[in-house]
Amino acid sequence: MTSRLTATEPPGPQPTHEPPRSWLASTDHKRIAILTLGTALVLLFAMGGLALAMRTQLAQPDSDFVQNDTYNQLFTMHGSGMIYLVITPMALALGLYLVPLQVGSPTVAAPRTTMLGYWLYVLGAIAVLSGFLTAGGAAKEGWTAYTPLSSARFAPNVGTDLWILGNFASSLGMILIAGTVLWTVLLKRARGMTMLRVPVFSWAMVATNLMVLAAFPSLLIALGLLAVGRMSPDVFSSNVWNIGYQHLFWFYGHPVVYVMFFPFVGAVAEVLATFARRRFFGYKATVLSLLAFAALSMSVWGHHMFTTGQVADDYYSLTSIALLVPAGIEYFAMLGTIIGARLRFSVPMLFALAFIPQFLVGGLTGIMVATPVLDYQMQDSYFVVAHFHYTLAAGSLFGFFAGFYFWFPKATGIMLGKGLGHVHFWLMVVGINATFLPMFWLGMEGMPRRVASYLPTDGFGTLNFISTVGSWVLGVAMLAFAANLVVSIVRRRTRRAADNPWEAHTLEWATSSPPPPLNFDAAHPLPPITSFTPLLDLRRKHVKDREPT
Amino acid sequence: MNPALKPVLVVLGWAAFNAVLVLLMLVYGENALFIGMYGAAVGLALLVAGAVFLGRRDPAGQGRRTVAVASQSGLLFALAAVLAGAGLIFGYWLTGFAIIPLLAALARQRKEVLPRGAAPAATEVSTLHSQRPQGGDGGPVAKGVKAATATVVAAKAAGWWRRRRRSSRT
Amino acid sequence: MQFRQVFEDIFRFEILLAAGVFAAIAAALLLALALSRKKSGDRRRRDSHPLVEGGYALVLAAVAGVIVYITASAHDEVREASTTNRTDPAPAAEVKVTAFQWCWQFDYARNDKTVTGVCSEKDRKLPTLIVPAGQPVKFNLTSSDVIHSFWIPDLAVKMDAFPDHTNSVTLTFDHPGRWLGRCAEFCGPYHPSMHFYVRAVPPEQYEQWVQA
Ligand SMILES: [Cu+2]
Ligand SMILES: [Cu+2]
Repeated sequence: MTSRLTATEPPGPQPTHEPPRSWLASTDHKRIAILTLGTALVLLFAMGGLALAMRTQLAQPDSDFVQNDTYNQLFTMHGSGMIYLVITPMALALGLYLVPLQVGSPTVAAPRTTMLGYWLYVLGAIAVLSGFLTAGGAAKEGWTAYTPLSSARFAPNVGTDLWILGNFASSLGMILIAGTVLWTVLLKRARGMTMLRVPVFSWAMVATNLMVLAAFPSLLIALGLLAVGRMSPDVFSSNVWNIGYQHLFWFYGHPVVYVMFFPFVGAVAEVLATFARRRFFGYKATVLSLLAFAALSMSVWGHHMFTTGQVADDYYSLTSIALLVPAGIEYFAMLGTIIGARLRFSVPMLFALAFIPQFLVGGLTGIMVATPVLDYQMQDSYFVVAHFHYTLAAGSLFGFFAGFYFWFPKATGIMLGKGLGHVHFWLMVVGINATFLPMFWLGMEGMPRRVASYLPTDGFGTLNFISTVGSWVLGVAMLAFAANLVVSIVRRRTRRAADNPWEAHTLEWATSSPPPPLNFDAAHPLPPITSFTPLLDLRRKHVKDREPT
Repeated sequence: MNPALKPVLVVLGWAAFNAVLVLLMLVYGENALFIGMYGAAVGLALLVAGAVFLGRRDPAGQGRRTVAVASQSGLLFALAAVLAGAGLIFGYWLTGFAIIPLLAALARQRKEVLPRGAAPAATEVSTLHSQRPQGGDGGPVAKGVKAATATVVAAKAAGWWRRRRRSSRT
Repeated sequence: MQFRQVFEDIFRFEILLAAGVFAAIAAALLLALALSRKKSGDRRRRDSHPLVEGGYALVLAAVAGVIVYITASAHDEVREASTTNRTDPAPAAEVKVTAFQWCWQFDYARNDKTVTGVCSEKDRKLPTLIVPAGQPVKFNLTSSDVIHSFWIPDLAVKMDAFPDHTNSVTLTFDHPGRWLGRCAEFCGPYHPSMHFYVRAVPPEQYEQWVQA
C-alpha cells in the first residue's frame, strides 16, 4: 500500500535544510541510515585497531607488547564492539537505507522512533567506550560477560557497569530500528509491490528484523540480570542464575550472528544478480529458506553450551546441523544466478564472489563445532575463533563491502574508485585468509582463546606469527579502503554517479542518486512494479519492443 | 497467479515454525525453564503478528497518521534514558537530571509533526543523468502529477511557516 | 581415550564431507567464471526450477539426517563411556576437581589425599593430577568462584567447572603418560597460565602413591 501524501490542510512545520540539524534531527530514513553506517564505520576502524594490538601481542610467545589486563580489555571491547556496535548496526542500517526505497515507500514507518534508535546506539557506544577512561579500565570479561565473573565481586570496575549500560542502550536502539523497518516492508509497500515482488535484500531484512524482535529482548533481560549482579553479586552463588544467564545470553547470541549475516547475504544476492544481468535464481525458494533459516536459528543457542554439561546437547546439535538445508538452498540460488551468465567483474562483484567460498569455510566448520563430540575439543579454542571470523569477517564483512561499493553511488551520487577498490579487495582476501586460516590449526593444537600470551614450549609461535602478519595486511587493506573513500569524495565532481550506474534491477535505482527526501518525485516516479526486478523487466521490454518481429 | 501473500501470514508462519521447534524441544527433555524462554519468544513473534494484523486493518490507513518532519525529540529521549541508566551507576542524582531532557523531548515532540493530511516539501536533489522512465504507463505520470501537487502545496506551507516564525520572533 | 578416538573418527568424517562440498562449490564457481567469457549472449530466461530446487532440498535434508545420525550415535558412545552411573567396570578412582582463581585442586576420595600447586609462569610448579592408567577414573568438577573449564587438549575432552554445581565425567587413560591440561573458560587476569598436568601411572604405582 502506498502512502499517498495529499496536502489539503493548513501547513505546519517544515523540515530544516541547514546542517547539522537537517541531519541530526532528520526524519529521512536515508539520513538516519547514513548516520548509523557512518558511526559504525568509524567504530569498525577503532575495533579493528584493537584487534591489531592483540595480534601484535600474540605474534611471539611470552611477548609483553600489552599487559595481561590491557589485553583482556582489548578482546572484550573488540568482540563486543564489533558485534553490538559495528556489524549489527551496519546490518540494520543497510536495511534502513534500502528497504523503503526497494519497496517504493517515501518514508520509513515512525521515523522519530528510528532516530531515537540511532541516538540510543550512539550514546550507548559512547558509554561502552568511556570505560577506557575510568580508573579500572574498560570491561574485561569477554563479549559474553559470563557470570559470576562479571558480577561486582570479581569485576568491580566501573568500566563493566558502563559496558552493561551502553550495550543495553544500543541494543534497545537496534530493536527500535528493526521494528520500524519491518513495519515498512510489511505495511508500507507501494501499490503493486506485493509480498512476492519484494526484492531479495528486503526479504532478508524481513527475516533479520523478525529475529531482532524475537531474540534481542532476551539480551536486554540478560543485561538486566548482569545489572542485578552489579548490585548484589550473591545471586550468582546459585547455579540456576549462572546457567540461566548463559541461556538468556545465547538465546540472543546465536540469532545475532544471523542478524549480522542475512542482510549481507541479501546484498550479495542483489550484487550477483545485477552483475550477471539476470534475475536472482530461485526467488521463492530463497525467500522460504531465509525465513526457515531465521526460525531455525532461534532454536540452536545451546550449541554454545555443550561443555556446560547442563543442556540437551542432541536437540541443539540436530537443529544446528539442519541449518545446512536452508544454507544449501541459498548457495544453490547464488550459483544458479551466476553459472552461464556473462559476468561483469566490478569491485562489488569481486567482494560478492569472494564471499561465496569464504563464508563456506565458516559454514562448514560451523557443522563441526555444532557436533558435540567435536565441540568438546574445539569449544573455547582458536578453532572457534577461526570459525566465527570466517563467518563474520571473511563472510559478512565481504558482503558488507560488496553492498557498500554497490550502493555508495546511490547514496552519495559518487562512484568509488576502481583502482583503490581492487587494491582494497585483494589485500582483504590475502589478509583475511592469512589471519584466520592458521587459527584452525592453533585450535586443534590446543590453544585456548582469550589468552594474552603463550609459552615458547607450546609450539604456537609460527602459526601465530603468520596470523599476525595477515592482520597487518588487513590493516593496510582497510587503509586502502579509507583512502578510496577520501579520494572519491574529494574528486566527487569527476566521479558523479548516474541514477543506475550498474544497470541494477530494483526500485532504488529508478530514482536519482542520491534520492530525493521522499525517495520518488515528479522527475523520478515509481516505474511499474511487475516483479521483484522491475527495472530489469523494463529493460527487457524495451529491447523486445525494438526488436524487429 | 499467486494468491496474494499477506504480510501477517509471513509473521504467523514464522512464529508457527518456531512453535514446532519448541515442541520438538520437549522430546529432547530440555529444562522447562528454557523451553519456556523460547516459548516466550514465540509469544513475542505472535505479538508482532497481531500488530501487523491490526495495522493492516486500520481503516483510515496512512492518511490518518501525522507526518513528522523533525526528530530532535529522539536525541532528547535517548539522552533521558541513558542518563537515567547512568544514575544506577553514578548515583540517583543523575536520574533527576534525566527529567530535563525528558520534559524537553515531550515539549518538542508535539512541534515536530505536520497537521493532519499535510505533506512536507518534496525538494529535489540534483543529479547528473536524470533519466526519464522507459515505461509509458499511466501509473508513473499520475504519480508524478500527485507528487508535483504535493510539492506546490508544501512549498506554500513552507512559506507560511517561515512567515509565522518571523512574526513570532518580533 | 574414548573422547580422542571418537573425535578423530567424526572429525575425519566431517572434514572429508566438508572438503567434498567445498570442492564442488569451488568448481561451480570456477565454472561460472569460465563460462562468463563466452562470446555468445546469455540466452537463459529461466529464473527458477521448483522441481530441481525441491529435490535438492530433499537431498540436503537427507545429508543433514545422515550427519545427525552419525554424530548423535558417536555422542551416545562417548556418553556411555563417560557417564557417571556406570558399574561395568566401576571407577577405580574418584577425584574431586576444584577450579579456583587461578589454579586447580584435586581431592581424592580415598585417604583424603589432596593435590594442588602453583599455576604461574613457565608451568614450573603446576599441580599434577595422578591417575591409574587403563582404569576408569571419575572426575567431579566444580568451582569455588567463577566458571572455569577443564580441558586436556591431547585427549579432546573438555568440561566446565561451575560454582554451585558438579559436572561428572569418567575418563580412562589407556597408557601411562603425561599430558598438559588447561583452563578453557576465560576466568580473569591469570586465566592464561591456569594449567595442570595429568599423569597416568601403572595401577600398582598409583596404589603406592595414594597410600603414601
Ligand atoms: Cu551459534
Ligand atoms: Cu580458569
